[in-house]
Amino acid sequence: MIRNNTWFVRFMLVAVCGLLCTAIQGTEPVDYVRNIRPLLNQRCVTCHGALKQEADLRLDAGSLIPKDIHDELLRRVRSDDESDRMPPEGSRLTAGQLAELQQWIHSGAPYPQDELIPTSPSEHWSFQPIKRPTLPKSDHQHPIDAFLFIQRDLPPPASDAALLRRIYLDLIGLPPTIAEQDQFAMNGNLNSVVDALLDRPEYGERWARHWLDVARYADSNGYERDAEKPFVWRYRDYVIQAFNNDKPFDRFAIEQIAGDELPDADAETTIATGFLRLGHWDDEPADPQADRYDQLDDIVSTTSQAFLGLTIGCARCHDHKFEPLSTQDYYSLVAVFNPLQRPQQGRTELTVKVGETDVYAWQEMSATAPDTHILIRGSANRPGERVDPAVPAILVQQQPDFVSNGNRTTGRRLCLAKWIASKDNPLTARVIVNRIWQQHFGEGIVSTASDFGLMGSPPAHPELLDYLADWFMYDANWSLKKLHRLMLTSRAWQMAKNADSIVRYRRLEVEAIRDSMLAVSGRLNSKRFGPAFRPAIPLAAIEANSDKASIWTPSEEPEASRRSIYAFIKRGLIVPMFETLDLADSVSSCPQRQITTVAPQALTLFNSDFTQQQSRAFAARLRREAGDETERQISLAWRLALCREPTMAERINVREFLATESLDEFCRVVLNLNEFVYPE
Amino acid sequence: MARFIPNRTPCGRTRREFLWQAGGGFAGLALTDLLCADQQTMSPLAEKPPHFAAKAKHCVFLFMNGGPSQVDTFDPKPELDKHDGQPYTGDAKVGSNGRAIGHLMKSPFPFTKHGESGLEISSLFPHTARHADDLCVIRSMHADTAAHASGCLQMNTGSIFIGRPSVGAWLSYGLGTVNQNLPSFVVMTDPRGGPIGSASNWSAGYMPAAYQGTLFRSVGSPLLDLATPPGTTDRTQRASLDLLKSLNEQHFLQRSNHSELAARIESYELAFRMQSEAADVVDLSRETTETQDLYGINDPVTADFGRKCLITRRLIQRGVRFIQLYSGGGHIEDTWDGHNDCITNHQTHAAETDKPIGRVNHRP
Repeated sequence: MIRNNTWFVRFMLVAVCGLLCTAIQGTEPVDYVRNIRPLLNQRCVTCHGALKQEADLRLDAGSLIPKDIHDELLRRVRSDDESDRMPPEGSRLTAGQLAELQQWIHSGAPYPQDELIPTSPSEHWSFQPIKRPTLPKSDHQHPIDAFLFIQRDLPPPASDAALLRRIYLDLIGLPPTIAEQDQFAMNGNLNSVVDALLDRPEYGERWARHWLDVARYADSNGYERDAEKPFVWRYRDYVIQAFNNDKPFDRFAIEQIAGDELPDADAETTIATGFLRLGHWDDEPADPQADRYDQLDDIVSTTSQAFLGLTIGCARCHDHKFEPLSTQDYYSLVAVFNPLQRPQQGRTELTVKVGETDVYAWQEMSATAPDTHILIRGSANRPGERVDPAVPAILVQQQPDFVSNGNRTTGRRLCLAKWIASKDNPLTARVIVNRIWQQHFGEGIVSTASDFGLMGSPPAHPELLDYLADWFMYDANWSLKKLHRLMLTSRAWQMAKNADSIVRYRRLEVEAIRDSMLAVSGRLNSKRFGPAFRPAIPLAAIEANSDKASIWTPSEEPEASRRSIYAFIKRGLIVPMFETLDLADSVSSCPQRQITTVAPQALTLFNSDFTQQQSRAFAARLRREAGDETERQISLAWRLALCREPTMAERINVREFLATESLDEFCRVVLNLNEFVYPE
Repeated sequence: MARFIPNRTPCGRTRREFLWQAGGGFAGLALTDLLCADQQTMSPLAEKPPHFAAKAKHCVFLFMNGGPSQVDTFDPKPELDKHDGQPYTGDAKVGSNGRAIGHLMKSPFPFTKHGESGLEISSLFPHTARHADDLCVIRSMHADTAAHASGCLQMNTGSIFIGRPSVGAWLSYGLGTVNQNLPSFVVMTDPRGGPIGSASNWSAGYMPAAYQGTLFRSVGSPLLDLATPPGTTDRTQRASLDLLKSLNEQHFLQRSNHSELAARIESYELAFRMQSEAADVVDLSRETTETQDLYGINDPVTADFGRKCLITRRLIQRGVRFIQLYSGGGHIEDTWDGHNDCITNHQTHAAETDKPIGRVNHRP
């Protein structure tokens, strides 16, 4: 009896289903996975999902949809009453979608029994405390290799010469000199090379630039006057020195967010807070009130991306659509920075005096904070509920105590900074360790370096990342130099590059290309620190400016041949060579340089005045150092530019060329070689 | 436990990453394939089919920098005539930078109806007015700002803030370009100077720089660093490129799974082809005197903008996707900013541009 009944029901379902399908699509029956789940995900799950459960309803897995709401669900999506209809925003569901939904429900709302229920955002991996995983059982001594290769044989290392060049370009952004190559050939010990390079001032000049990308560094404000940010270069110098002095990263973070609020505040720690003032700024804003919140948004967005890998800026106008971050979270962070005032007189920016030093930083004028309100839909003239300073709720069990510890300032930033730099923060160490990994290996363990949220990429090796983060905090005491050393001594980093290698083949950044050209030509001016220099900009690019007569006065030699980190970054007029070769976006925090390959790069590197100058200087150097003999000149060129001897085939090629063409021309070709800009 | 994968965010950087990865590489092809095959696959500017059949294939954006007065050009206001000379009493916030608000002023330029549609256009644009029936005038357009810099930005990027991609950059990203030997998005500025905010107006914003506008000059060498360096003969330039190619290919043979190396080899060849093709575009001596006259090239008043408009036509013929021409630049009086003497200002700039604009609008 029972069996018969079941058969009957099944038959009926198939019959009904068949009829409906003919009516709707004429072909296939509605399938939950193919038709229904995508629709629910697209239109319903933002409010009725793992992130948010309005009306205590979740529609992000079949098993979560109670049978007793089926009728109500159909009624609401079909309703003609706009205040009643679901979804409340965007277009109505189409007739086809409504029919599919109806058919699915009428057929008993089936779903695959093995469908997984999406996890709650509070279970998201990067929000969990960092726990040190045990090392895998492996014969490899190096922890990174133990995690990555476990029981497999280590891949072969790159050749000594290739590795030497790789290490130099990676750590100091310059190729090794002939003397350094010879020394390494005599007593080649890679570890000691790493140690030596980390002690060189050029290390900071290379690695500070990576942080400046994250900090959206520029020397001017953008917009009509695009005025120079007075003394902002002191922040750039601060970052270089922080890297060179191996300032512990937790202290580095605290200084940039709240260096002026520290008990031992001084000029240096106040300069560090320039981080908060690096953003673009319109000195003639359309709406001053809105402009104030735009500036605060720049600070909140940059700080949360840089240190926490969170895209909280999206929660300015509405609760974040895809992350567990609310407008309350966002404006609570705004409340932390709201006491800051921009020192200015009309359109002119002023600096803060700390002792004798002019410092480009914001200022808090009192220990009493102004009220901060949630802004409805982000609109400056629609204040909602008042908020107190707080950190994103999803990240803490208990809020840190935002209390002032003095009478100069509110102390809010110091409290936030200490929480960010605390070992209990699940994000800070993971995020910075991943950034360092990304620069060394070409791709992060998390490939979205500034997005560790639900929308970011999951870590390729979660255990390795956590091991490194924990090791960085507890074994290395936040020392970046120790972290570099750990990574660079692994086989994973030293292996020969191929399409699948963990260490990626990646073009050098424009700074390292330009600096390498200068180093090889012998023209590099190693002068450190101080006001920026202005590289020459071709007339054709100057002409396109409204104040073309005065906008750019190029520096004379030898100032013009300083390292690229000292070049003036003018937001309205980026040096064309820098821009073409994918300089970081100077307006918002840049998690990783883009690499494009387009013809204007070839034009710049092959035809520009800069290349002509370097080619001539390079050729003169070859004549000076190798004499008139062609073979010796070729060898020297190869060793200076590529750290190796030329192959026989290459020699023959070049010899033929030099029979009719000049050494200058040959040098121009060498500076354009793929091998020159793609380190092995 | 399966990972929860929500819809891709429009806010985060995952999209940007996607943008670039979409133009990214493929691996595993042999050297000859990679070097000879359709290099477009690798270029961020490879032509991409639109999602819907499109009528328009190109866009010309004539940017009258400084802001021509709408009530003196395409938007007649009969009420203004009635209140000419009276003080302003409205509620709307007008004036910028604390400047005093003047009196109401009727347009000094008479409007007449044109074409079958009867579109009203002022006496400033007699040539353009002949195409009245081909024009769509939007009179409801307004900006969120009274300042030039942020206003120009909003016109080009949709936002009053720097850092967003311009419309030309979006088109280049979305559609790529037909002719790889020329830039996809060309910008020609006024010899007196560019717009306020200059390159932010044709920026690719947070997208790769490959999509940004490329400055194109109507005289001399059209592109930055396009010309063979002074003192280098064409034969030497080619010999150097050949040596570079040969050495790069030897290097590539051992690394043939790195398609970016092949792309970079090709980029030098592309640059070389660009050299001859771009030079050809600006060589207007190939046009007949009659054509040159139609664009006003032989009249000093219209010569500059006329050249640009004729070059624009030649760029379109060669497949360039998006071209932006600026009229006016530099100091206030050199732009369409009629702060001081609107009559002289607008007459001057209209005289420079009307005839060439009328011609570039012309349907053959």
